Amino acid sequence: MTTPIIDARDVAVDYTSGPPWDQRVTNAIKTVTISIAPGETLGLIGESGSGKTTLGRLFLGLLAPSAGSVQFDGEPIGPRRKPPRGQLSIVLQQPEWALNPRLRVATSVAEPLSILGRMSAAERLAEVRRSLELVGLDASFAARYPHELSGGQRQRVSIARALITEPRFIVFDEAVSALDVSVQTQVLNLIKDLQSEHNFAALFISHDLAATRYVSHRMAVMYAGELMEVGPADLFYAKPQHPYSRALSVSISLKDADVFKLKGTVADVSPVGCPLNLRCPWSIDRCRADKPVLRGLGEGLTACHRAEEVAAA
Amino acid sequence: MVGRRFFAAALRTLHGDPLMALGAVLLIMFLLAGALGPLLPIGDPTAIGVGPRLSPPSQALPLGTDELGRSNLPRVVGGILVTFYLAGFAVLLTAVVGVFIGLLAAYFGGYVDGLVARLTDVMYAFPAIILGLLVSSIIGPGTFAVVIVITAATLPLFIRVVRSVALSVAAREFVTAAEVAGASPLRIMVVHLLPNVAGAAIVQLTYALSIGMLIESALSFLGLGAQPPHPSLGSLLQQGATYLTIAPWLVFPPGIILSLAILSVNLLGDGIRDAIDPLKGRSLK
Amino acid sequence: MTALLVAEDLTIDYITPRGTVRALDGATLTLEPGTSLGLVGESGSGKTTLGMAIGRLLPSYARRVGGDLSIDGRSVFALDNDGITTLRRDRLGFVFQSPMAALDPTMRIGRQVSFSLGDRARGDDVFTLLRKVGLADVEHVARAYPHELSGGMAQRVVIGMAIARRPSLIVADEPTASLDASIRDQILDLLMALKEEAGAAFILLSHEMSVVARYCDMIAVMYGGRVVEHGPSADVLNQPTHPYTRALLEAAPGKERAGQRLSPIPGVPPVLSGPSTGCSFAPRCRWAEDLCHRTRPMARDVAGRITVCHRAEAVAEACDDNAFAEN
Repeated sequence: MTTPIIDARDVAVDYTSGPPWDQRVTNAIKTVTISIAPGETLGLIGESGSGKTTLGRLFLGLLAPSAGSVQFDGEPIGPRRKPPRGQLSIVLQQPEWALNPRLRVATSVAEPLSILGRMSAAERLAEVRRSLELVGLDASFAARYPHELSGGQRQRVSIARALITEPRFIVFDEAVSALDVSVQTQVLNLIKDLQSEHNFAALFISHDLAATRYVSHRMAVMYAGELMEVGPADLFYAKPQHPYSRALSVSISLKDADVFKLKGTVADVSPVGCPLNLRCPWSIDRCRADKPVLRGLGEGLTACHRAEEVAAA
Repeated sequence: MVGRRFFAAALRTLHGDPLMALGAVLLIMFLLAGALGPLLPIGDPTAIGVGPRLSPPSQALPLGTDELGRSNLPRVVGGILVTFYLAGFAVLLTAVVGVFIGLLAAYFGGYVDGLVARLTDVMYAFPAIILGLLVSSIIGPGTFAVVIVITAATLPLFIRVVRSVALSVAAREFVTAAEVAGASPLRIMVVHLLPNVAGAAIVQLTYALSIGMLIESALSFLGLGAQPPHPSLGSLLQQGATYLTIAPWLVFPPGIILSLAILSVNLLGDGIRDAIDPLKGRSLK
Repeated sequence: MTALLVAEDLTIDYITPRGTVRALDGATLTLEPGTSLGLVGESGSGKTTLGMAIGRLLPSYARRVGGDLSIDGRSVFALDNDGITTLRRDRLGFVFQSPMAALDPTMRIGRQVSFSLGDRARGDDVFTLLRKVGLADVEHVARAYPHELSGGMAQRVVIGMAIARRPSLIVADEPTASLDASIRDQILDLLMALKEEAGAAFILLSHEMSVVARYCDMIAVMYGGRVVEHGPSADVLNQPTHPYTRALLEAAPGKERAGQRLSPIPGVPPVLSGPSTGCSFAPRCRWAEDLCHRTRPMARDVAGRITVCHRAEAVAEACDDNAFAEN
C-alpha cells in the first residue's frame, strides 16, 4: 500500500476570534479523516461554512489542526513544520488577484523557482516558457502584465506557476468558479490533461458538483465541518448516496428537485444528531437523536441513516 | 522602459485634471526657485543695510527691505528653500520608517499590530505644536527640533494608511500563493506588499509634505524653528507680522507663497489619489 | 398586444481613454407584459449593458450610437431626468448581483425599505413587505443594518425593495451569484412567486442555462453585443438553431456521461471596437462559411424563434441526434 500523499486523521480546526475578554470559538472543521493517493484528484464539494477551504489550507500546512494530524508523504506538517518547498502548490479563485498586478507574468510564474534558489535567471526564464506552453499560452505572454490578460488567461498563468516546480500535490480552490462557462471547460480539460501527464495529486475544492465530478477521480462532500459522503466520481454521475449530495445535484437534474429540496439556510445547523436534520426532507426522529457516522455503502462511504432509501430513490 | 510608460500616463492624467496640473506646475516652480535661488543674482539674504530700513518695494529691491535693511526678495526665496526642503527631508525620512512599520504591522498582525496601533493612536492624538514646544525646550530650538516634530506628526499618517492598504493586499490570492511556495515574510513584504502600497504611500507623502511645511512655518513663527539669520517662510511671516501696520509688504509675499505651496502640494496629492482610485466615472445621468 | 419592452438595433459604445469598446452591436429584443425572459451570455456578450440600458443605468462613458430602447412605446433615452427617475421608481424594479452593494450600509433596513415604498408608506407596510419576502422576525430585521444580515436575507430585502411599488418589469442581474447553492432555488422561487403575484414581466440575466430553463418562459442568448437567438426556452434549449447556443450547451459540465470529454468552444469571445464585419461568432463556429465571415447575419424566423445566423437551418437539423432535454 503506497503512502498517501495527504493523510488527515481526525482533524479538527477551531478559530478563536474577538477580544481577549470575549473570545468566540468557531468550529471550522469538526472532524475529518481522509487521504489522497499519489496522482489522484479528490474533489471536495460544499457550500460556504462547510469547512472546505479550511481543509485545503490545512493540507498545505498553512494552518495547524486543533486536533488530529495531517501528514504529507508520511511526514506530519503544519505552520511550524512546513512541507518541503516546491512540492505543493495552490491555484486560487479570483483571476483578478491571482497574480501580483505589479509584476510581469514571467516574474510571477518564476517565483516558486526563485524561492527555491537553485537556478540562474536564464534557466528560470526557460522554465517559465516551458510552463506557459504546457498551459497553452505562447512565450509572448511572459512579458505581459496581468491587466493585459483575460480571466481565463490569468487562471492559466496561475496554473503555470503552480506547475513550475513539478509539485506532487496541488490544491485548486474554486479555481474555475469565476470563469465563464466556455472558459471553465477549457481550464477543466487543461487540469485533467496536465494531471494525467504530470501525475500530481490534487484537491479540487468547489461548490459546483458538475464541474468537480468532471475532473475528479474521487469525491467528498462536506457540510458544517464534517464529511457527509465520500465515493468515486462515477457514483456522483449515477446516484450519490446522501440526501445532501442529491440536493446539490438538483441543479443538474430536475427530477430530484422536489424530492430532495433543502429547507432553511446554511445557518440552520443542528447541534445534536445529524447536522442537516433541520433542513433535510428525509429527516426522521432518529436523525435528531443519533448522529450518523461515515459508513461503507456500495462503492463509497456515507453518513446518513436512510442512505439505502436515498440510493433507491 | 518603465519610465517612459510612467511619463506617458502622468501626462495623460495631468491633461485630464487641470487642478492637479496647476498644483504640479506650481510645485515645480517652487522647487526650482528654492533650488536655484542661491545661484541667482537677486541679492544676499543675510546682508544687512543693503537699503534703508523698512523701505517699500522698488526697482532695485523688488520686495522691499526688512527692519535690518536686508532685501526681502532673496530672503523669501531662501525661505522657500528652507521650508520646502526641510519639510521634504523630514517627510521622506518619515515615509521610509512609516512604510516599514506599516508593512510589519500588517503582515504579522496579532500583538505586533496591536502595539503599533496603540502607539500610532497616541502619536496621532498629540498636537504637533505642543510637541514642538516640548522638544525645543529639551534639545533647543532649530532645524533638528523641527525635523523631530514633523516626523512625530506625520509618522502615524503613514503607518495607518500603509497598514490598512497592506492588510487588504495581504489578503489577496497572490500572497497566499507565494506563502504556499515557501516565500519568507521579508520577500512577501518587499516583493508583494510594498509595490502595491506604493501608490497610497505617495499620496500620503504629498499630504504629509503640506503638513510638514505648515509645522515648520508654525514653529518658525513661534521662534522655535529656523534661527536667524537664515529665514524660513514661517519666520519671515513672524517678522512681517510685527511690522504689519508700517511695512505690510513684508508679510504678504511669504504668506502668499506658503499658502500657494501648501495648496499646490494638496492639489497634487488629490490628483494622484483620484488617478489611483478605480471608481471614477460613474454617474446616473 | 403591445410589447412592454422593445429594444431595436441598440448600439452602445464605451468611450475609455484606452479606446472605444462596442458593448452592444445592434441588439434587438422584445418582451411582452407578464412574461419571464432569461438573458443568457458570457462576459463581453453585452447582456449586462442591455439589462442596465433598460433603466438607463449606464456609466457616464457610455454612448448610444444607434438604435433605441422603449418601454411602453416611450424611448428611455428621450426622457429627461425627472422622466427617467419616475420610470425607474414606478415601473421598474432591479435586483443586482451583490445585495450588500445595493443596500446603504449606513442606514437601517427598515428606513431603506420605507424609502422604496414611497411617501404613502405606513410603518406596518415595511413589516408586511419583509414578511412577504420570506423573512422571519421582521422587527429585528427592520432595525438591523445591512452588514448584520446574511447574504440570503439581504437579497430578500433587496427583492422586497424592487417589488415594493408593483413594477411592470423586474430585472435581476445574476441575483444568486453570491449566494449558496442551497438557497439559490429559494431566492429564485421567491422572485418568480412575487412576479406572478404582481403580474410583472421579468428578465433574468444569467450565465447558467439550467437556471434559465427552469424559471423562464423565453430565452434570449447574447453574443458579441447582439441577441443571437430568442424564443421559448424549452424549444431553444432542446433544439438550438444558433451555433453559439449549441456550443454553450455542449461545453457546460452537467449533462455529459461519466468519462465523456467535454468540448469547449475554441477561441475567445470578441472585444469589438466597432460594428462587426460578418458574424462575430464565425471565427469560432464549426458551421461557418465564407458568407458568415463577410456578411452580417440578420434576424430571421427559424423553427418558431428568432435567430441571427446564416446557417440556422443546418444547425437545427443537426440537433435531432442530441438530447439536450432535461433527463
